[in-house]
Amino acid sequence: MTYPQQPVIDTILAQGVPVQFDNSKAENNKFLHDIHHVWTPDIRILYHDGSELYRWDGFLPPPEFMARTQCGFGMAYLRLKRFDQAEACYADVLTRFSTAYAAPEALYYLGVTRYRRDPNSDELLTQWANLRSRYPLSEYRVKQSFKELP
Amino acid sequence: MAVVPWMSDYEAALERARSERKFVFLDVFNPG
Repeated sequence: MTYPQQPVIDTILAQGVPVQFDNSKAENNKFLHDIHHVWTPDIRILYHDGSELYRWDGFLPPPEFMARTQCGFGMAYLRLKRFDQAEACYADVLTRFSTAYAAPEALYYLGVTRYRRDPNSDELLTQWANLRSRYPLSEYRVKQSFKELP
Repeated sequence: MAVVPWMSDYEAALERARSERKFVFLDVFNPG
């Protein structure tokens, strides 16, 4: 339902090499055991050494899937300290999918990305203030709420 | 209908990701 959509495919292929495993096939059991697989769809974004940089489980319809995927690539780039590319992913989520469930995460980590790139900037607190305003009921608002203490 | 060009060889996917400076996008599914 989600994968046959061309915008979804384009989102994956822009920054990913897609590989897929069927969990009903015995030949995949060892691999799935080794990665502690538990539920489908089980989606992971991996570095080329096999290390996991982002993951989620469960079906998402195309717009939510695309937003979540972009958040995943954003985190993957952020963990590698490729800040400009991380920023582009998060900005894309906020531009094209501002009402998606992943959007508050994108705004939270947009601030983190800019702060990590330039610790002297005020971007962390600026973006977190935007988060409080735009997504006041999100979990990511809670994650920055220590900054709201008197 | 559009189709994701899934690979099935994990090691080959890692190597392709390295050479193309991309990430591996891994999906585990159940056909049921």
